[in-house]
Amino acid sequence: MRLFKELKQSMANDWGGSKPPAAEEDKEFLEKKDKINELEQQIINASQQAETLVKAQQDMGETMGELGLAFIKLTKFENEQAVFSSQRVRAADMKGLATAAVKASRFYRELNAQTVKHLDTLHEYLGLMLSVHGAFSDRSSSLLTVQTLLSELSSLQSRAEKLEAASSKIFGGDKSRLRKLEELKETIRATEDAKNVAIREYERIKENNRTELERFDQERRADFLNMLKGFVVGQVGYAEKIANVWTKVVEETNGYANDST
Amino acid sequence: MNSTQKSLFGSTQSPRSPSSKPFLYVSVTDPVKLGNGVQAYISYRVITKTNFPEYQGPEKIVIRRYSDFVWLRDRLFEKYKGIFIPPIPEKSAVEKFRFSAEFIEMRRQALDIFVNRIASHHELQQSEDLRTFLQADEETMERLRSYEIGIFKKPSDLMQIFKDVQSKVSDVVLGKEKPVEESDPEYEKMKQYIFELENHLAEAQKQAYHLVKRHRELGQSLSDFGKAVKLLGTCEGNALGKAFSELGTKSEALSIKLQREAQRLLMNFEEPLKDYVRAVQSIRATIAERANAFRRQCELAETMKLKEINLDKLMLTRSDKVGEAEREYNELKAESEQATRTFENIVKLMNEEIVRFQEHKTLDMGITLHEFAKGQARLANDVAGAWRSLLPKLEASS
Repeated sequence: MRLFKELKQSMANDWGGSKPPAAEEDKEFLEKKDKINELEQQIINASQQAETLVKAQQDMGETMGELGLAFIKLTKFENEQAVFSSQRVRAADMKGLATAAVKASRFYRELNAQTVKHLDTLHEYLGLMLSVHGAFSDRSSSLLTVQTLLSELSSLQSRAEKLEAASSKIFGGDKSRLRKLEELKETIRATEDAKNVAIREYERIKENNRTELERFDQERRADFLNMLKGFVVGQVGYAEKIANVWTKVVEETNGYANDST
Repeated sequence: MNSTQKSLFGSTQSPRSPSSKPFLYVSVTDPVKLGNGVQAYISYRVITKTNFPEYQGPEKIVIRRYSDFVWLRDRLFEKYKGIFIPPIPEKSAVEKFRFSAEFIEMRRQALDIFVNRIASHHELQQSEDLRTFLQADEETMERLRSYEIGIFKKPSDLMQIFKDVQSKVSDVVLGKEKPVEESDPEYEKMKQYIFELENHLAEAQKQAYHLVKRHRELGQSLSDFGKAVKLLGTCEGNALGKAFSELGTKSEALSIKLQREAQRLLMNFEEPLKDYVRAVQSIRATIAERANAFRRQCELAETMKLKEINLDKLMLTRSDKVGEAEREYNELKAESEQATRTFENIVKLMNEEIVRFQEHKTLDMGITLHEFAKGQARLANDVAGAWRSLLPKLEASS
């Protein structure tokens, strides 16, 4: 019975019918809800781009490894077939590059494993968003209950007023009408009680939501900051390692630097 | 660098003063797109600076197009058998239609290297065709170019197949089933080396090209990631929002560095490897020429023997055909000796060329590998530096 009334109430709300008393507070809440939705969209977007970044890093590592392998084969070939010393020199140079490429490839792979771990935080928070939505819908349905009861109460009271007015006109009282009135007053009292319970429940949920959202915001900020730090530290560390690997090859082939135009 | 490298690349001490030392420098510059649609082509400015006495003057500027370079290469290939003619960039029907800035620059670079290699080769630099190429006016060049295209439709390849068929036919006529080939084990080894080298180099070039693509892809993903993170920062606001925003900005900046490195790798790493492959393919063409020269030498020697036998027979019978036969025999003998000289010259040249080739390739590769490592080190250091600059800000936020 109540479900049907709540449906009628939510429809009345939608049609701009009787305005529930909590309208003002709802505006703040609606703004908060919009912000959370916007945040969710951006987290989805960032999480997708993070996946693409991870894939690109992985591919880079793989290709670097393949390049190293191709040069290892060339080195082996030149050494096996060497007729001139220039070939052996070239083989040594290429081996330097091959070794560096294989090392760099390994570093890209390791970096990527770390990147995945850190940026996973974005994916995690997408999951956590579900519970936020759950909390929002709890509040909405609780508010709907309150609104339904309020409007029911209001219509019961106006019916009671009408009955009282009608029975007072009849001298000596109207037994059936009076009985109806008594029943109605009972119903009103019960509905009052239900309304009070619902309002308390609504207030409880509202307060819960507020503290939960605050906690969610705090934790999210801390987690995201950690994510950024971890991501950046990883990038710095591995970029340095990769730079070292190539710097060694630069030093080993420095003799050619003077000959290049 | 080690002592072996030094001994290869130590500059020769010239007793002459710098001003009297002969030089020939060429630069291929200023590509300009001419014509429309499918007829479009690129013209280049070719600037020559020289003190060679055979040249018209110390400096000359001409306008040349790709097919002129092809003409030069074909002429040198025909005239200087045994020498590894420097390779020319491929004709690309697809790219030509698009004519991207990238393609134009790569082609210009390759053509510049091509001409300079010819100019610095002690024999090729004396070529009359080179002088024509560097000095003739455009009308003359066009005339020569169109004339040659009629004869050499597809330079090496088609002629090669034709010659192969020719020699196979004559082999059958002379009663041989297998084509005549040299039996020099060292030369066999060299041929085998060249064929296998091409495969290894092609693989290395392929991976180099993939590496270029990976840099582009990583660059793109950093750019997209940066944008997404900045939007997220706007949502968050406060210290976290700022941190996101700065991370996003850094990510976008690094994206640009990666795109630049991709471009650099294309020009300075993949292209030299492609050039190496082309050089090896050019050697294969020379190997084919040597095989032809060998076959011709053998054919003429065989034919000469037969003619000698016939002449002896005629002399014994005191035939009045002796005179004619003698003349024919002498002609054939001269031709045969010429063919032998040609073949032996090719062998001698190739032996010198392979030494030069290996030395030059070690030098070329050394420079290429050095530049590659430099670029990668620079990129990695830039990446480290960019991300590192964020750390104090991130520390302050938490």
